[in-house]
This record gives sequence, C-alpha cells and structure tokens, in this order.
Amino acid sequence: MLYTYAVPQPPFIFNTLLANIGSIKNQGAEFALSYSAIRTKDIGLDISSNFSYQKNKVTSLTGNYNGQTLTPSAYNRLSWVTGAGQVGNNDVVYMFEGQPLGIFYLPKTDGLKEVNGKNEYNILDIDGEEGVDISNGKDCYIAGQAVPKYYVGGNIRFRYKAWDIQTQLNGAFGHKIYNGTALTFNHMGNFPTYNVIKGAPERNIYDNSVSDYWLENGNYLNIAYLTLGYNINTEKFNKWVKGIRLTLSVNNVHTFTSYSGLTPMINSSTIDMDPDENTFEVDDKRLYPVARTYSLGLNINF
Amino acid sequence: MFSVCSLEETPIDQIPEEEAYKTPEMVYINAVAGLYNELRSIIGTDHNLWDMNNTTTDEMMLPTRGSDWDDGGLWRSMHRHQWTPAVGMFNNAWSDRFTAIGKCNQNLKVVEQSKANNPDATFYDTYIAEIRAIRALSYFYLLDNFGRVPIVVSADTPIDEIKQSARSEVFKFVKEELQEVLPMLPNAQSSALGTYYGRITRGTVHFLLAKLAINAQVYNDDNWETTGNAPAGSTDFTINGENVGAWNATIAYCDSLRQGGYQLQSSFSSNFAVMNEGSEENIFVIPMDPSTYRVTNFNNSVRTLHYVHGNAFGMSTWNGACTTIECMQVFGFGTADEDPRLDMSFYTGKVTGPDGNYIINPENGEDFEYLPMTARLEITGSDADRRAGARWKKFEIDRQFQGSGEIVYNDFPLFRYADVLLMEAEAYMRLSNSTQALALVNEVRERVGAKLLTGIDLATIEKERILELSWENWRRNDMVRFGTFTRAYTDKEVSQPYRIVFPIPENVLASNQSLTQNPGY
Repeated sequence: MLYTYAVPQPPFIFNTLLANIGSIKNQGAEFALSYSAIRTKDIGLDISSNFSYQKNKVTSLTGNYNGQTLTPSAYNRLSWVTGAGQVGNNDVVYMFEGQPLGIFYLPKTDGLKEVNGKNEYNILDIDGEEGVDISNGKDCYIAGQAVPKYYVGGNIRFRYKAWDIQTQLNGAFGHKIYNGTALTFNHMGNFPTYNVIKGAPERNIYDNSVSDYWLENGNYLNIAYLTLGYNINTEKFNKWVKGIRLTLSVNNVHTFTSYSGLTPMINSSTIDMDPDENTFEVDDKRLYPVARTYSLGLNINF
Repeated sequence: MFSVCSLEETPIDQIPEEEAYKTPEMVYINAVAGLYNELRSIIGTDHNLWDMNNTTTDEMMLPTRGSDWDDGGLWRSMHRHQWTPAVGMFNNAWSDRFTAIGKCNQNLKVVEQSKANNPDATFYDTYIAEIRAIRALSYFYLLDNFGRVPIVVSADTPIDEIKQSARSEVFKFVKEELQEVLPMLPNAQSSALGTYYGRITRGTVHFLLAKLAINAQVYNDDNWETTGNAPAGSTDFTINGENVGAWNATIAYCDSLRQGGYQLQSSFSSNFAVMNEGSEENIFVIPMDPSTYRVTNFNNSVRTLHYVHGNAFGMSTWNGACTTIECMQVFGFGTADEDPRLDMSFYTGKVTGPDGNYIINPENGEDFEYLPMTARLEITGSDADRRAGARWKKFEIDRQFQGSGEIVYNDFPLFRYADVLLMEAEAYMRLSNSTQALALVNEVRERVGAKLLTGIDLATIEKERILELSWENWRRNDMVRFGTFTRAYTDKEVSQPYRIVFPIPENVLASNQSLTQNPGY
C-alpha cells in the first residue's frame, strides 16, 4: 500500500517520502439477487437487489526502505475541518494501524456548557490524566468509522400494459459523518463577519472546537429516481414512426437519514491530501445542495 | 520471422549526466542557480523564519481583532513567548532549511564528482565555494533559531549517523565553512543586475562573519537555559589561526566591507524602493520580479496594510501585522524628538492614496487614520480597533504588483551596510571605545538627518538598531544579544531564559528518535 511517510530531515531532502511498504486488508461479501416476480404479456415485476458488506483494516504501515525502517507517526490525519479561525486541533479522520481505513478520532463531549452567558462544547477528560488535553493521544477516542460497512442497492420495475414504473434505491450503513458545516456555521463568534446557519443565534454557541458533538450517524437509504413511462401504441402509423415513449422522472426523490446536514451522500472513498480538496467523510461547507429534479421525456424512434 | 529493435536512445531533450557539468555556465545553471530559490522562505510570511523572528519581539505583532487573526491563539502565544514544540512554523522553518541544505549537499556531490572527472579544469572550485556558502547561510539561520542542530555535509549520510551538535559546535562549523570559502568568492555586487545578481559574493560572507563574530557570546553559550537573558559564551574568535577576539573580528570584517566598496546610499528609502537594484548599501538581496524572480510568499506588505488602505492601491490586504507601542516610543512618535526614520518606516496616521489625497474611511466618512498607540494584543473588531497599530512602510508600494499586491519588484535587502556600521559601533562600544562607536552611529544618523548624538552606550546602540533596521529580520537576534528578549513589555510578561532558542519541532523529534529537545521545552 502506498503511503506518504514522514521521513527525517536530515538526511532526507524533503520531509515526506511516498513508499509502497504498507499493507491493507479487505474482507467482505457481496450478494446480488434478481427476481422476476411476475412475467405475463400485460404485467411484469422485476426486482433486483445487491448487498455488500466489507471489513477493512490497515494491517501495517511500517516497513523497510533502503535499509531504513519507515514508520508512520502514530496519529495520521486524513481529513480535517478548515475555516476562519480554525488553525490547529482541527483533525477529524485518522488512519491507525489495526483499524479500518479512516476512523474518527475526536474529543468527547456530553453536550454544551454555559460560560459567561454563552454556550461552549463541554469536552470531557477521558484519559485519566488530570485536565482536558486534546493533543494527539490524550483526551480523544475512536468514535466511529468513515467508510460504510454495508452497501445496499435495489431496482424495482413494474410494467402494466403500456405503462411502466421504475425506481432505484441505494443506501449505506455503519459509518459516521462529521458535520463540519454545522460546526463552523453555528459559531456565533464569527458573526457578523461570516454568516451563520439557521437556528444558530438560539443555540448561542461561541465555540468552534472540533469534538464528537457534530459527529453524526451516516446511515441513509436514498431513492435515487422514480420514473413513470408510457409507450404510445404506434401500430397505426408504423410507416412513419416506430415508437413513441413518454417518461416522467423524479431524481433524488427522498433520502431517509438522520443526518442533519444537506445530504449524507458525501465522499467516503477518496482521500486527497490537498487541504482545499480534502472531503473524506467530512461535510465541510463544500457540498452543493442536492436538488430534486422533475423531468418530462419524449422519445421518438424513426 | 522476427524483428529487431535497438534500445539505444538519443533523446533530443536530454543530455547525459556527464555533460551537464562540463562548462562553467553548465555548472552554474545546473548545480548552483536553483539553490537560491530555497532562500525565499526566509522572508516569507507563510509561517516560517520571518514570523518566528518578528512576532516574538517588541517590533511586530499580530493583534487578535475580534475574530480576525485568532488562528487558534498562535500569534498571541508567539508574542507572549508561550509557544510549544507543536507550533507549525518551527517545523516549516526546520524543514525548509534542511531541504536547502540537502539540495546543497546533493549538488556538491555532483560538482565534486565532475571536478574529479575533469582534473585539468580550474573553475569548479568557485562553484563549490558558492554552494558551501549557500549551505552555511542556511546553517546560520538554524544556528540562530534552533541552536542544537545536526551538521550534515554529505548527501549520503545514513540516518543513524545523524547526530545533533551543540550550539557552539554549529557556530564553529558555520564560521569555519565561511572562512574557508571566503577567498574563492568574487568581490562582486550582489544587489546589481548582472552576473552576480542575488548571488553570494565576498561581501555576503564578510557580513555573515561579522554577524557571527558580534554574536559569538550568544552562539558559544551552551547553557542558555540559565544564562539566556545574559549570554555568557566565550568571546574567542580565530581568524587565520589567531584568536583576535569576537569584537576585533567584527571590526575587521566590517572594515573589509568598507574596503569592498559598500557604502550608505544618500537616501534611506532608496534601499527599499521598487527599483532598488544597484544600491551600494544592499550587500545581499533576495531578488524579486513578477516575471523573472517570482516570489509569491512575500506577503509582508499585504499583511500589514488595512483593507481600505490596500484597496486604494488596488491591493487586497489583510490588516494583520502592526508594530508595538514600545516601538513607537523608541521612534519618539508624537513627541518633538520624532526620528526622521519613523515616517520612512511606518504609517502612523492618515495615509494618502495614489492621487495624493487622504484616503477616506468608508466606516465614518472621515480621513482614514491608523492609531499607533492603541495597538494591544487582543482588541475588538470595531473600526477603530481595526485601525490600531502603526503599519510597515519601508517597502515602496509597487504599483505594478501582481497577485493581490504581494508579487512585487522591490528586492529584499537581507544584509545592509547600515547594519555593518552599527555592528562595528557595537563592537567598539563593547571594547569601551565610545569615541569610535559614537562616530559610526552618527554616520548612520546623519544620513537620515537625525540629530547627532553626543554620548553613547550599549542601550543607545540597541535603540539605534531599532530605528534603522526595523522589520528587517534582526530584532530577535539583537534582543537576545542585548539581553532584552525575555523582558516584559505591553501584553507580555517576563519570559524564561530558555526561550531565546526555539524548540526542536515535535515532528522532527518524532521522525528521528536520536534527536533530543532543547532545554526548557
């Protein structure tokens, strides 16, 4: 597995080196099931579904390069929250040996506490050492994984004479999402230089410290589309037109989820170390709202 | 039936490695010129050496104005001397310097190999000397900032041979490297367009040696954890095998610069003008030019100016860095004894736009005005507080800037002759020769039309250095030497002696377990 190691300077010229000495293990199972429930001249019902389960573990990041042992630091950050006033202690997703690729390693909160009439995140001291210290290795815990454990997909098609209706579903379960947008835009300290999210003045939070307060369940089931189609009978003028089909489609019908952000369908597979591009399971103000679209289609075959 | 193809290539866009270093021009282009790119981060404002050396002094600070510049408390902790080894800029500075050193070592290897392959050629030595000098310059900054660093002179040193040296050992190394390469460098002007523009020449090395000599007491002191606020290192300094002592060595090197033709320009500001090439006072510069020497991280002017002020010139500025109340007091702001350099160095009140009229403040409709004496470390985001603090003016605003105002034509003078006169004055003063010291300080003062002094002592020389060299990246070095770095001033308590040296960055210690942290951290 390729990984960019931090290497000592000196003697290396740069402080990172891309080397292929790590290893990762993926185990899982995939099922696909298709069933033609009804198949007659006038009626048809086809159902297909797939389901996959994967367990992923970074088995090792340590190895040997030209006689020198390269080992990553114990805390490898993959993803973080950025924004005005967010400098330091803003890491959210990490990679640890022996854990799934991409886990949330965050300070723990039990809610808000009031400080001088303003609310702040009450970060707990969980490592037994006196005082709250959120530097790496101290009062943080593994709060969940970024990559979904289960994926499901389904397609149902029902046909009655000239009508047909089709829908496609997809879903992912077992993972979490960090709502960085909510963290940043609930911070009243940035107001009015920066705008805040609806409900922020009532929540009265003057804090943008990263913690598990905004770590949310990422489970979702999404109805991708619903299409209603009608095939017009063209027997009478078959010489001119072979077929006419009308469709009415709705895209992004609905997403069943408890995630409070714009959509839970965010990047959960690509890690980009460029801080301006990095979005691995962190919803950080970079999502464009998902739109539900209605479209009418006319398909004419000559 | 079979076909044969030859694997011999004759690429038309590549040359064999042996050819790349066969002539003086080739050696310069392929092994030396690129090394100068690594010097730019010395003056950059992207959390590197410049920020380390200026925000920790009484010359510059980045106040938190409301939520502006909060940056997790970074600038407040730099000002208050409360930084930890985890601060990012320490890692950036260490990393950039060792990248520069690593590249020097790699290039030295190929040039020395070429020299061995071409024993009749005589030109290799000058380039080897130049590369060693560039490496020594990076080591100088490491010595001054981190003290205990590993000395690495070969590209092939394995990791288990990387050993940290004591500060005094690093000092000895830099000094000996510079002394050895000195005779092989040309006596050419670095600040003038031409073959040696921006390159290390004899004058650069003389300056560095003078700077090393005047700081010998600091760099030779390996016990700074206790003596940090009164450096107690040895003042031995050998030149050509003879121990002349640090102060005499300083005077000798300063005199060499005088003999080398460097002198004060008649105009103080001309050294920082847009077209400051050819200044006889600038000894070593970092060339800048939006096309040919494009430096994109020199945001010093952009970071200091208020949004309204910058916008008037078409720049997008950040309203960050300003100077302190203490600094304004040294300049005599608002008193009858205001130093002439105040107006040449800082914007302290109303400012004029490109049309020559006062810029209007859209917040209140009045003339826009900076408020130098209300610059505190933590203030509000109100209009008045946003205008608090005097701002840097030394660099002439480049109307032909690119970017949002940071890509400019003015070269940055890293080493300047006025500093030489002041170092020489200080050395004389430390030898109790106040007559000579006074004459030299007055030479600097006369140039700007400041009232000549009648008496002199070390504190006056320290003050003169603020007046002359403000924001030229020497204040921390001066404060440590004069023992004033750890003292208390506005929004800062007394700090501990160990703070005169920065910590070895956390990441560096994590990636090489044989290195140890500096005392106190």
